[in-house]
Amino acid sequence: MAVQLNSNLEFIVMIALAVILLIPLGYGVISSAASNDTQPFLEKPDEKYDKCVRDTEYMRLNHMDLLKSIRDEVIHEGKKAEVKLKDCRECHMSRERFCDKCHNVVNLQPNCFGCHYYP
Amino acid sequence: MKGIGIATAAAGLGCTFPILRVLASSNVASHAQGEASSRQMGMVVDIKKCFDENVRRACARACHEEHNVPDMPDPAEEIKWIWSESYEHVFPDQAHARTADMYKDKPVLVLCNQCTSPACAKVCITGATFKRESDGIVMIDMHRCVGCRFCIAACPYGARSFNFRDPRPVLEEMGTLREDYPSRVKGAVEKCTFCVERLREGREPACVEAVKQVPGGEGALTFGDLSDPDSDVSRLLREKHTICRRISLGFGPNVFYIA
Repeated sequence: MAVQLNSNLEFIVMIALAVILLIPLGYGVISSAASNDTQPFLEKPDEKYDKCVRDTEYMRLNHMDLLKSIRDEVIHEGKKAEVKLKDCRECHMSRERFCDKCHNVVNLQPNCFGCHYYP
Repeated sequence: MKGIGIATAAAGLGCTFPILRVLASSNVASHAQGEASSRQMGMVVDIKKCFDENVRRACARACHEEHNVPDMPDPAEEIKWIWSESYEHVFPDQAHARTADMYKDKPVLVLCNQCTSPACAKVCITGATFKRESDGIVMIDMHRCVGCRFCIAACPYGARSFNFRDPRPVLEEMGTLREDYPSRVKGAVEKCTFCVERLREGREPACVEAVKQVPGGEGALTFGDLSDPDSDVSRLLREKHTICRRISLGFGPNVFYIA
């Protein structure tokens, strides 16, 4: 009898442990399936903005490098800016609904907005 | 074997040869002093026309509103790009015991001198401040500035200001926050840039444009390319007697004053 109880208890503990260990994984799956909230929200107020300055895949991965290279050209070489951060605002109007979506997921706090106004 | 040893020793000595060093440094010096090919923007200020308070106030307001320069409540945290100081402070090597009453204690408009060999750029530890070759303007790359304030200590003209706190709340309170020009963050140093963003579009600096609107302010400030002999500033400098601030220090200021 005692042996039977012991193995039962062991089984219950195992199940409980497995559930506890799987909670974060399940939570992630359920929450990502339930809401599409991590997707950046695109706004195109004008028909003339049919595409970005570079293709989407490039912008997704390298927009910071593009902005930095433009900054170097403008400040150090005195050239005219190809695109300004305020031009990005024309389509991607909200920082909260666009920039922050990805930055929050990867836990980045870029300091662009300390100086550059972006609502 | 012995021959190779002597050759390498000679090459080693050659590196420390004074003539080579002079050659190398002369290249650097000519670079710092602005070669004939590179442009240098400059300004001529008419001291007498700027005695009028309306003129001085108009250009300071135009500049500070254009560039998100806050009016800090605490004078110790003051941020200024263009402002006024007494004649004695602006020209300590010109003022003397018998300075004419016309100039004694009179306010003179001052701004960054965009020096030919700027002290601020020499002391900058990160390379944030540099002398731009394309137009000779002393620029600050705000992304690189770490706020060490060496440049503030180095500048003999007091042209630089430090952001002791985030300026944006003050700007918002004042209601003058411009969305299309960046403000600064706490810990950044700032100064006059000769309105590079306007020059890029072919416009004149905000202060020069503003004084033209004020009655009696025409010609108080003249802006142009010093390397172009036909520009307005070059013509004025040829025709009138002009003085510079603390010229003996040798930084080569590019803001000139008609006394």
